[in-house]
Amino acid sequence: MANIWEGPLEKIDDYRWRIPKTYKSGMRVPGLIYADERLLKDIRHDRAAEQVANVAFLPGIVKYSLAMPDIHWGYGFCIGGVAATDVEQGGVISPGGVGFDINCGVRLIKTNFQYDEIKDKIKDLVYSLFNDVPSGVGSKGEIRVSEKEEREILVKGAGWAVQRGYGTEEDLECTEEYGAIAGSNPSAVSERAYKRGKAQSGTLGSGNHFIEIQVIDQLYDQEICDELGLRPEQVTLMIHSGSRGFGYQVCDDYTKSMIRCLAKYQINVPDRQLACAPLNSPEGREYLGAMKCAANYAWANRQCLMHLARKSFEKIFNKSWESMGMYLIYDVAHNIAKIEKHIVDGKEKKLCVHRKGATRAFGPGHPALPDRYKKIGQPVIIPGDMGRNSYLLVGTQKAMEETFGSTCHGAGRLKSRSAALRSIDVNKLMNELETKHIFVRAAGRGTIIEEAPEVYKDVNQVVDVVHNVGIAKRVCRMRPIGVIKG
Amino acid sequence: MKKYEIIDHTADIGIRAYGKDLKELFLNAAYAMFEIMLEAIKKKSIFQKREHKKFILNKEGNNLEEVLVVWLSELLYLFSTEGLIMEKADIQKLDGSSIQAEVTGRMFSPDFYRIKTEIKAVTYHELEVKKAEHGYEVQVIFDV
Repeated sequence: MANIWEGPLEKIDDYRWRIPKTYKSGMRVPGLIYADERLLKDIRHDRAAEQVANVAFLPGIVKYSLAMPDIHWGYGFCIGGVAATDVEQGGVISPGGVGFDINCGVRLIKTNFQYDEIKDKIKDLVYSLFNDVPSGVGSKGEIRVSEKEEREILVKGAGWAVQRGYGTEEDLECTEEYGAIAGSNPSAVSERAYKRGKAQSGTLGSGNHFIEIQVIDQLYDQEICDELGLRPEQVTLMIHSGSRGFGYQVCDDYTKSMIRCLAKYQINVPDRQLACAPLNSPEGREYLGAMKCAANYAWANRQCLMHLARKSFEKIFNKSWESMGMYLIYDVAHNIAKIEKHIVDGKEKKLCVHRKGATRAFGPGHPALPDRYKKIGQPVIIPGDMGRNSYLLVGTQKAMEETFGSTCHGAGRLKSRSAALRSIDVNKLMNELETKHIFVRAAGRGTIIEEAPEVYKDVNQVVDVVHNVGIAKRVCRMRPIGVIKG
Repeated sequence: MKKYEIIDHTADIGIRAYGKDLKELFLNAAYAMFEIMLEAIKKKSIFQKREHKKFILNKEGNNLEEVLVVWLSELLYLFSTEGLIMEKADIQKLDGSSIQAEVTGRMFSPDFYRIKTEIKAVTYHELEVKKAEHGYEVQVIFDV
């Protein structure tokens, strides 16, 4: 941990650093890290940069092995990495490049409340949300589904929830992939995954997952804010969760089976956690089909969580969620692999874009966007830690050109969980948060410490980099006022 | 001899486990994993009935490291689906291609345990079973 990474980082400009292809024999492309001098110091403190170089070994990888400014040490792939492989040129797909929490992601919901109007109700709201939304390790949901329905979730995603009355068509329009990615293959999912994911729809989970009540405290782009109906001091809601036990098991199953593919397809990678298979192989196709099931499970889950949160608000304010203006701005995935078309060296290519701790950031006019966002570009939601800020950004043309339409995903971890537990006093931390008028309720005290602001990089610095380099554009900033943790 | 220790990793949690032989190494790695996940508490009377269960494990892998990951993953799976907290394991066979064991343990109950950390999975990251001075040691990183 204390070791400083001494590998080569060539400065391209103030925000871009290259790991040359010559650093390690076996690298097929250079590495490229987006960061400023300050963030670079933190990055050198663990082995994330080495992992950026390792990812460059993947067969079919094009242009660069990319890392966003929130990168930190993962296993196999770093967190905050983007890697695109050419499907037609033997490109691979790697479960490790997606992560265990498949389609972990965030959604942002607006309300028509101003902070002053609900200031005195924050505690009630937090308690109510904490009671109404099952959270914590292995939590089981109120929303029970039969086995037949579980299979339906894997195909219809958030659409399944809407069909059940947990939301509207408009919600789906405001969700990446409209809440369900096509091509999921329920028969590629093991019984074990079904068993582990059972009864977890509509549960928040634990660790860094949360529901936050927030207030907009800074506008950066007035025009886009007007378009989205956002103003200073407006109350918003953010939900961060993923595919729960279901996704973990899918990743686990396929990481194991793909280790065998390394020998079968003669793939040389420096870490078994980078196990992968060509997209045009039975194993590659099967994983993609299973991964999509987990992605759809996660979209259904976040849709259910939003439904529970809307109900909770309805109970406290005795009004319908529509009359409180609780409309979804957008929902993004930040652990996923997608088959997308991008221009590489002037030619359109079919790529498999792995985003592990990175967010899609498609620019204005992209055909994947719903009409309402064609003009402004795709909303990008960046959660921060519970004591600082979160951001709403939009995707840009520059991201399309440089990063396969991708940008950062959050603050990025700085300190290990055990280091946090050793050094942070929970009572002091709670007092500090209270002085900032942030009310926190968590399933376990350990979670609060492990998720303390100081264990994260400053999200403001991370967002500064992606905005300044142009791979996303700042729209507005929020600060938390109520936090529900798993 | 130390049985195991919990080690730092930026985003995740790791362990380093020791054993005079492979069986002990595998057992200690499992105990370490459960220590990351759970903390014993005493809320209810010790006379309250606690359910015990037994599971037979029979798993394969291409080498020792894979067998270790499969072993720990199986225990994690049994914990998340059945609630099994391993107390004892009788490992009948263990080599570079398979493990056979009879695992007994208690069922999870919030009256006796507090969950500290959710482990999502056991990773292969920088995993290596090494010969050490008094037997074996291994480092394992968990995704949490």
